[in-house]
Amino acid sequence: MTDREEQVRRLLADARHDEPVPADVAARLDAVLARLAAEESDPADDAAAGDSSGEPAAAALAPAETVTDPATGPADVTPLRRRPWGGILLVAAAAVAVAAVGFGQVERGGEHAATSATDTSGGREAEAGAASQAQPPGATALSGPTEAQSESGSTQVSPAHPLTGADAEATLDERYEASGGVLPEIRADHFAGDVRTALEQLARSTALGAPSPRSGAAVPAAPAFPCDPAAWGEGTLLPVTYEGASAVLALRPPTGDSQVADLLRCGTAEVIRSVTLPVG
Amino acid sequence: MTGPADDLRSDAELLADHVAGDHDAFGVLFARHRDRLWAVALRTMGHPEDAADGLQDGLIAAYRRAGSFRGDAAVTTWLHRVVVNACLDRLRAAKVRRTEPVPDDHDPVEHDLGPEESAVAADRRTAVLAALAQLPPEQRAALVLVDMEGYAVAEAAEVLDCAVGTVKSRCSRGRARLAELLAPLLDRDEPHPSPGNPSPAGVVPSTDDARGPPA
Repeated sequence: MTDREEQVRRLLADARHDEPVPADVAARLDAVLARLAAEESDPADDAAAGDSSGEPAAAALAPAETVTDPATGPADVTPLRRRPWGGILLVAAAAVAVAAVGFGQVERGGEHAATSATDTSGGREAEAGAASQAQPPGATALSGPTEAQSESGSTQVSPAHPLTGADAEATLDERYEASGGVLPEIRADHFAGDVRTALEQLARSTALGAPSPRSGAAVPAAPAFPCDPAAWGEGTLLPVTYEGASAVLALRPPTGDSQVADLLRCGTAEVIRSVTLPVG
Repeated sequence: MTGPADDLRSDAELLADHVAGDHDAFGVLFARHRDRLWAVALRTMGHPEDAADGLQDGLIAAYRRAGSFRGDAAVTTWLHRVVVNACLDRLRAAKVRRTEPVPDDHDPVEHDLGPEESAVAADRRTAVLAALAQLPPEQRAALVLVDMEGYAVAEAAEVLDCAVGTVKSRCSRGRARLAELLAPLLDRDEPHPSPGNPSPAGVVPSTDDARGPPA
């Protein structure tokens, strides 16, 4: 190491931050933890409370929906943001919101007629208060009902909703088929950007009327996505490739104004990478 | 909730209890490490609000993915990895305030220095942080961990989930770039060589008796 670099090391050491976390940040993090713990321990209360926007809770709109996977987490941590992000972020948020709308439409089964973007957007608002069923944190097991419909018959599912194992695999197979075998590539060194691109592509393909999940025997069987099944957890699933191998991108339900996308390993659903994206 | 200082459980025990459903365990664990995590997030992101966002992302990710912790690294290393990854993901996604200056009022005043020295130290710190912000995120994170936080290179490699050689390379390239960016500062601080012949390497002891003070 040269003398100059040694000097740089000393300057860096002098610039170390030694102060404790500021009180406002500590309070914000405590609020996150309190909300995460509360939603795990008593999901019913949280669902009934609705979100901070005053919208009714998702459980009220979609009583059949049961959010079961704490790995994807509780929905509403909105108070954690101290101020809105800047304009550049709004663009990203809009892109993700579009992707989420697209996902919401694609995710629905054929028997659930496509709802308008407005409906889906409303669903996203509503799901900010979605309940999560108590389960040990970190678990990724999947269970529970898969679709939710309001009593009027219109689907009120969130863009990301629980899928049973068979439904999840079918959805992945259908998206694999729709891709013509050319899956979005997620690169390790461009992870966040590639995730956003994949989501935007799916949203665009949905807007253009790309095939949506089939229902029943009216549609021929799709070629299988070459990826061993696993408990992917709740969310919208997209087949991708990562470092030359198949993988699954899971867009988890929004948590306040952010949304986690997990890249999952085939066969185990181990989280390879993850990124938090803003929602609209 | 038991305070982090009062809880005698190890980090690994707290994490296991959290996975088993103890809703307080993760809070105790996080409180135990959050000051250091905050320092890393702050220096990696360069802006307090970005750091708070990154730390929050990391907190949520760690809380939810605790079940995936396999115990092949220390819990604190794993926590740092999750937070650093959250920060890097934000930086790569350009969800940060890259062009905003580092706020001057967020770093501590060095109380043991005089006003003038304190101002110089603050200026130097600001210059270093501004230069650090110009590095690619991966180089920055490596330097924050190794040169600022004092992590061993091997441990930093675990945090960054890359090879030891990669960390060394990132640090080396980062320091070289900082040396360019901070050249005026380094030139100012560098002791100027005295004119004439260089000093001998060692001190040659005198054979004369020591002289006393003048009479």
